[in-house]
Amino acid sequence: MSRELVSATQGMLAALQAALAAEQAACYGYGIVGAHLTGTAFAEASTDWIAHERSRDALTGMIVALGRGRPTPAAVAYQLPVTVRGHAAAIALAVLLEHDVTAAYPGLVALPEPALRMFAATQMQQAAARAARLSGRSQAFPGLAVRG
Amino acid sequence: MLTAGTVSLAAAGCKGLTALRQPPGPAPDVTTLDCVIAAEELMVARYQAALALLPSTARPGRARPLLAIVLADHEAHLAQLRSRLIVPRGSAYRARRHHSAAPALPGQPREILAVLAGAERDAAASLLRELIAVPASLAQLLASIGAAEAAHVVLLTWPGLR
Repeated sequence: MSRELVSATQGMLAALQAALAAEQAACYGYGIVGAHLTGTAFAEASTDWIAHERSRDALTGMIVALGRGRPTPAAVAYQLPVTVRGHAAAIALAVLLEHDVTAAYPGLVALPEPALRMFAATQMQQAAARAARLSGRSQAFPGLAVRG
Repeated sequence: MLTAGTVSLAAAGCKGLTALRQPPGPAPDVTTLDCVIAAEELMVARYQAALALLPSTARPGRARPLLAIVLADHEAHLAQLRSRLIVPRGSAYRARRHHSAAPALPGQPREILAVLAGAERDAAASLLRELIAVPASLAQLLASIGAAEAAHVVLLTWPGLR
């Protein structure tokens, strides 16, 4: 394998692992979120949780299929960015999780493979839409550090 | 000296200086960027027209501030996109003729919001296709703008807004 191809494959693996790490953290975080919600909010959080589990599994499959490394396992526990003791804090955590997930995908969008670009850009749209539903707000440049 | 040089180029099988008179056409990603800019300009025009049409009495605490925020998002998108389009002086490339007339919108606030949500949904889907064949950094920008538009759809279809 040429040096360029090895480098490209390593770049792809790193981008996939970064997205996987964000989805794993989101899966953990939504477990905390759901524990503090009831009714419709709980049902929506459950749906969002499943979406992140599916994305996590898809990324795991992509890394395995690449054949150049193993998916990095999820951590046993994560330090939460906010203390969650009720509904409002749970929603705030979910919004932060969605923002983190959105920011984990531009690395994959930068890869030249059309299928990966499409997957990653779609994930960004879905995460931004969930964040908007949860927060009632939008960002001009979700996932990017662009001064609007 | 110029003549001699030209003769030498011709002898070498080159086309000479006349070959420099026609610069190459724009790269495909330049055309894509120009199309995205045109679409973003149309989006800005839609929101400007909607804000002008939307009666200030129609849920004044909700719809109008939201449209103003979303308009600001689109203006930021447009500024970023325009900053990426650099046309060299003297280039034969001419930017697409962009929209000048305000787009037609329905009269009822609920219908206006529906039209805007549909436009955002279409734009987000279109960007997913456009970003496939552009350079990496532009693809990231288009992905982010598409994500913002997907978020706008959620906000514009918010049940409490209507």
